[in-house]
Amino acid sequence: MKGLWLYLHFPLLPLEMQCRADVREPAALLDERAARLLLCNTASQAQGLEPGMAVARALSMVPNLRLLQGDVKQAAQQLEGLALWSGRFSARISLQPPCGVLLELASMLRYFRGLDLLWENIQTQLQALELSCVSATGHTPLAARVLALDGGFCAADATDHLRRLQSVPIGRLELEARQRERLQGLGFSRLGELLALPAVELAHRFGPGLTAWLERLTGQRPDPPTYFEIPAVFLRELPLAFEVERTEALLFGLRRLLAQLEGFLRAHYWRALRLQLDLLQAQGQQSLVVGHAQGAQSADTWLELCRLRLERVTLDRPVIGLRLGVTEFRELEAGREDLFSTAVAQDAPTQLLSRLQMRLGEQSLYRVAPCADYRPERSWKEAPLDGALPALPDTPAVRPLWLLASPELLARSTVGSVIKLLQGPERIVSGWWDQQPVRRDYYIGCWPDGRRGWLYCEPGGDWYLHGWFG
Amino acid sequence: MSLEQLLERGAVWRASDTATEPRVAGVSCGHAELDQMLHGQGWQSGSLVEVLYETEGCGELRLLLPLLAMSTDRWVLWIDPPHIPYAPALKAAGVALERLLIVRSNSRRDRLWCLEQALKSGCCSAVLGWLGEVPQAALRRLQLAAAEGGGLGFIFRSSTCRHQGSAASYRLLLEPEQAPDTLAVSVLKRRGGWPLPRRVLSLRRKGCGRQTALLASSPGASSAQVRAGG
Repeated sequence: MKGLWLYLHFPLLPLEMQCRADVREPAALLDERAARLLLCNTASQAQGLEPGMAVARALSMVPNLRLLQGDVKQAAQQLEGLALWSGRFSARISLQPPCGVLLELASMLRYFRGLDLLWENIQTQLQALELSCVSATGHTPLAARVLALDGGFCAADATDHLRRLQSVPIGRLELEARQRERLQGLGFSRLGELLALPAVELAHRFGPGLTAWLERLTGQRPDPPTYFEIPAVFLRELPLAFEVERTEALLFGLRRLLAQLEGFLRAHYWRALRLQLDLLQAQGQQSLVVGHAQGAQSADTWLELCRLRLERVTLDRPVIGLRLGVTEFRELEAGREDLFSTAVAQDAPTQLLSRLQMRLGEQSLYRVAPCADYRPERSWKEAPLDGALPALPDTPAVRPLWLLASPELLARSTVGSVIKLLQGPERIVSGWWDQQPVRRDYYIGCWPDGRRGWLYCEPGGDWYLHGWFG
Repeated sequence: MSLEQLLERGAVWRASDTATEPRVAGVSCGHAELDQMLHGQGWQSGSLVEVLYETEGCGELRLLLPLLAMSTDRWVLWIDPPHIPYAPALKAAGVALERLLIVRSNSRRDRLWCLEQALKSGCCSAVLGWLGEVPQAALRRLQLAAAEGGGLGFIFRSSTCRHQGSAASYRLLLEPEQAPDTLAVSVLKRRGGWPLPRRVLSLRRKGCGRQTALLASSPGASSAQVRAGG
């Protein structure tokens, strides 16, 4: 089978993971000793800063430069996050440190109906990620990498790739610096000139390392990458570059985590039912649970639910990081959606219910069910949204549609004169076993304006209103 | 503002338009007399119905019971009812409790938001909401949401709101009646027609053998039913 690979190169990954890609203000990442700039975003490059510059000089040129501290361990985590995100496009992903991800595409072309559609799809999703990225295809993993570092390329055929490789400048190749200088010293400027030479001569002059590299590049020598294994558990952390005090400001970081979650779920053919979102603070954390009754994969669906949940949260302390975990999964069974549904603009009911639950809290939605008890206030109960309700025989007597939450005392003189008794009494004596005995005579009464109420008389002679025939 | 501008904004309803307005089969409200008042077709789906009454107990739920009993597979939402919807009585009236959902919101803003979401989603056969004072713009939003989702929205408000303008497609004013199982309805506004004056409806349902939440009609009947529980 012909190979086709995609290399995604994120040149500013460690920097942009800490702040937005499109941010207007200049920012730069420091090296380990915090003396020189390692990476500059587009805004700071526009003002004349470049990697390798001393911090003091950079600050004198751009006083409002935001300096960010790099972290090697964190960088590896970020790359893994991107690999999870790309799980939506390919099952075979390879991490290419420091800031690249390699995807195997040949086996996915059929599923995505051709390279053009897949490419378009990838580019839109990349935009949503808000990271600067250069992507290139290649007929070998190394070709894809070389072309991505040279500015990007997209083609399906090996011949196109070979032709494009010819024009890559030697200076852009990831060779040892000494070897690159030697090649340039000999007058080579493009990769094509190197490829035209006989391999034996090259090996003789530059050692077998270079020819092996060129053979891996052109595909004459197999070069299987080490694949990234998608973990079975999703638990990701995202440190925020600055302290956040308003919940809306968390959505940006959350969107990235949810994009990774979507890739993770798609790669496993799972949908998530319940997420746990921890808002990490300098001391302690605030934990939220976000649920979807039927389970969902899409980052957009989850983002909306999280947004609704976050609206109800007041932050105790500023948030410095986010942690997202999935606490409940379900397999994604195929053919769940109804293809032939004629209805338009219909959400799945579970979607609506999840949305309402997120905004109002889970206990704010309930069903009502009859209960086997003679006391009217105990003959109904709140029931959860799913599951069967108990099947009970109907009450033979007439009952009002409205029940008052607590019976309302009526003036004794009004009953019988102002309020006419139409029907009754119905005596209810019950509850002697659980210390809440009831001994009442219920009547249906007619109010002067014609309304019908349900009232009862206690042995002491007090009258109470207990319901309305609504 | 000129008349043309008013017409363009839809602020003026023209009686001559009714003939050309396409008639879609509506949802029967279960009371033949009321159906007749609504051009013999019941409620047009995708509309907001505003029900005005003074206090609970005049028959506002019994008016909707036939409609609610017909809905068995889709959800019916009750948003912030003023009292407890009493499950035994609803069950006896044939309402599918499996699909009846009570929603308790925390504020007026949440209440309007819930109503709008539920109406928009199109997955509820009816959405019932109890609202107090709300701005007119909110009602317009709800009417638009109902039109988008294609369901029916019922909002219950105090009869003191009767003189305020409203974007709801239908407005009914309910008043209790002395005779049992009757209710006086005035149609303040309806789709494709003029308002109708007060008329007394019977809430008794034909062909319904089960004893529903309707009241027995014999006043003074006092057969003591003694029930000793336990």
